[in-house]
Amino acid sequence: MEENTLSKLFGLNEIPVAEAHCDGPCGVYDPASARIAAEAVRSMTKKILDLTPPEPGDTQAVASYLNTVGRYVAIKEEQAELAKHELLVLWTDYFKPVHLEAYPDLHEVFWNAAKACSETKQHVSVEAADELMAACEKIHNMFWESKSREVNYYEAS
Amino acid sequence: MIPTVLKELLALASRKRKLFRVAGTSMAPILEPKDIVFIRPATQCHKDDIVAIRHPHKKTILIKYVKEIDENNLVELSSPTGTDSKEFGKAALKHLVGVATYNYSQKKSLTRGNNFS
Repeated sequence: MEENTLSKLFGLNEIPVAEAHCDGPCGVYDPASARIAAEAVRSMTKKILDLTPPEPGDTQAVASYLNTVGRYVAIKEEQAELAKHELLVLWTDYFKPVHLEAYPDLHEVFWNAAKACSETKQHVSVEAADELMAACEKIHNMFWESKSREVNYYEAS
Repeated sequence: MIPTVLKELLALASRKRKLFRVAGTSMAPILEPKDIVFIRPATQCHKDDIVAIRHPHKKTILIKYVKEIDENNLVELSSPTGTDSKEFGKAALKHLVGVATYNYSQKKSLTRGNNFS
């Protein structure tokens, strides 16, 4: 009896999936992904703040200004969401209850880091971006220490 | 003697089995991708059972071996390859969907003693 026949015979519209695959890259995690996205957020934040608004009467300059701001905000939004996603993957998939013994503040660190991602989206704030970067550094240190490896923290920009 | 496949189909007809389709290769060769598996709904499982159970952190259903059940009713899952509880932690027994009984695609029983571990 084929699968289609089985489905029809027993009224099964769609057989649900049971996952036997890996959670993505088998055990390959690196907080660098979150750090790179966070750096992009900080860079876009600074670029937005560095822009000088044009004179209101200069239509072309206003259009150009709005276009640039729009692009910077879109990138900031996207990268902050990416940073949050990467942090949540580390939090929920890599770190386990046993790590709480070594890092009792683990949940708070990740919670604050995720909240910092939201802050950077809601505002154009260098302070919020710096806070996110500080959280990324802390997570970097916890992560590599948990793997008993010495990996120095660095920033690309 | 009633063939296993017929027994399983009768159990399915009387709603004593659920069907799942396997995704991924971590349980190969006993479960290959796209295999159709019969699952007996259950609230208990044992070491070496193949179980369908909710992922500890996601909404997905996993299919893995039971390596151990601890005193807090947390199930340690294992698979020949790929990720298991070593990576994603233990799953709660209350999230057990059921125990695998039959691989319909390979026409093989999956009850303990009939599968490798």
